[in-house]
Amino acid sequence: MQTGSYGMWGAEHLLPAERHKKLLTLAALGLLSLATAAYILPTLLVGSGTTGVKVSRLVYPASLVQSIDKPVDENWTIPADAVAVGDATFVLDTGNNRIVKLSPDGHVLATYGPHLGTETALQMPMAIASDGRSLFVANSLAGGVLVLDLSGQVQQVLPLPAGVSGKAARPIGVAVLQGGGLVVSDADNDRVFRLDVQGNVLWIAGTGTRAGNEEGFNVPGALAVDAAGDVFVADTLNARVVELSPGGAFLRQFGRRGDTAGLLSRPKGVAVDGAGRVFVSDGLLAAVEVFAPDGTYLGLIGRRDARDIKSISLFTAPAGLSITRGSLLVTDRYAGILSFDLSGARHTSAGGRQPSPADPAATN
Amino acid sequence: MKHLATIAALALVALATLLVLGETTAFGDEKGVAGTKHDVAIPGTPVCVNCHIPHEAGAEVLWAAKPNTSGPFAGLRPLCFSCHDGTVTTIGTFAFDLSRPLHLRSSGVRGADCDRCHDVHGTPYAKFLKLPGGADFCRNCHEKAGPVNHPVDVNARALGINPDDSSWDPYQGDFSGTRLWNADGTGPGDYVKCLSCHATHGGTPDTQFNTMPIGTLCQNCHKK
Repeated sequence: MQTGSYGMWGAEHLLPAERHKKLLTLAALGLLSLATAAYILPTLLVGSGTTGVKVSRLVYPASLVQSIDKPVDENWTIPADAVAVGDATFVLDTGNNRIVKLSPDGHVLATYGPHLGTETALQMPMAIASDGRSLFVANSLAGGVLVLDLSGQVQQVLPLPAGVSGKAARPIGVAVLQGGGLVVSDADNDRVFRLDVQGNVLWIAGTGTRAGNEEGFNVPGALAVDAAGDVFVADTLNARVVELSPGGAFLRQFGRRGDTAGLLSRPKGVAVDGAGRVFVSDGLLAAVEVFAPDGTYLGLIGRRDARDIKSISLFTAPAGLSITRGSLLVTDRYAGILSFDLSGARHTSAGGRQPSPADPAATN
Repeated sequence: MKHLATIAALALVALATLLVLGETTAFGDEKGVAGTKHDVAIPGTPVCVNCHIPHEAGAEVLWAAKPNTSGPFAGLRPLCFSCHDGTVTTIGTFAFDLSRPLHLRSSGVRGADCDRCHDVHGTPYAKFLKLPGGADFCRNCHEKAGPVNHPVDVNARALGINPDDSSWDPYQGDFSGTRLWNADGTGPGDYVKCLSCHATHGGTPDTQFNTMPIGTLCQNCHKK
């Protein structure tokens, strides 16, 4: 056996067979190290917060402007949705069967419900929309849509027809069309209705039973409408958002089932901005995911610190979404309402942190 | 030759056992869920994936750690709530009001979270309860609670006892009242059961699991 120095690699004094074996081992170790580095390095870099690190796939540029976990001197229980009209925000206090009208600083200006007159009551209201003059409420256990004026007076009750099996409708999503009329989802019969202003049914999408692909839905929930009149449906148990034409035909889907970037587990809310970008809240992933009009995944809203991959979510169970004047309003069933500026402007966050000017992507 | 045949037979038995056990392990839950209220799949599609969300190996993770890993909403609650939130179903939504008492559970501990009492994969009992007993289900663990502290399984109305408040409807915001049950504890009736005075989720705040503050609760039946 040789003794003494083996040099840098320690192979020069070995027999040919031993040398060959050692070289093979070193090569294997080298390859293993290379593979490990290739696998680990991107993760380390993304998590390091180093200037120039690519985080845009994970973080969509949106600044938290305000978060109100509960109204000043008041409370709500598991709110499901909210809509801003003028300076006021109308929040569906689902657990208490009422609507809370909030001032910009979180004070309660008024409450509507549970009883609205002698014959009408809010019964597990799940979604709210507005055309600026009226409020439209998906009154789920009452099987219809309530139309209220902004002072809470009932203007109309729009009942939905029962399903083919006779099961009562259970509306949990509503959106207003620009030219008038509504779209409403029926969770228990897996349908989406297009209604005119009188509440007449113009078309129905879905088979009336659990379905997927281009045929139908599996618990259609939140709804949104874009400038062209296309309808976006949070297809809850199919883990996707479906885009329908103004006539109710299937156009495309956003996302599919999964728990990684661009995939969905439990889509609960949907909104579309003026540029056609589609925002989807996911109650199980505790995030809002953003898609381009063609379905390309654009990123995530919700990370408390955009520059830290280990950062936790701002959300607990995000649900209803609405967009007003470039601001995204997220209703979280436990964290209250959170407002995000989508214009790229920077604000002091109520619940987040001020991003570093060095990192343009870190504005979430 | 004989030895070889024995070994081959044993190997076959072992293989068959493995196959059966493997299938039971892999698909046993699906067989249990199928046909229950938790079977929310489109007919002909896998049942499991709605709760056991598939991971895409190599895809970009959204979070370095699972969301909601601490606090009162941790553990199984987010998964249960992802349907029992008024969207997929309205059943049991009140159980997720975090301001109200909930039976002790250990978040994320298998068999000690919501699955302490419920088996979502299907059971012979109502509400996916793991054991029988209906409104006396509690006694599967709290064996002495009823007889020692207060009689249960007695016909209250036969004794002339009629609660002032006998309604309890959390879906309408009514979390108070003394419910009387039928003999097997599965529906309304005349009998005192554990759930006459207690609510394992959705009780009145600051009363542990009582449906009323203690004084009011007693006087609801035991009138002065």
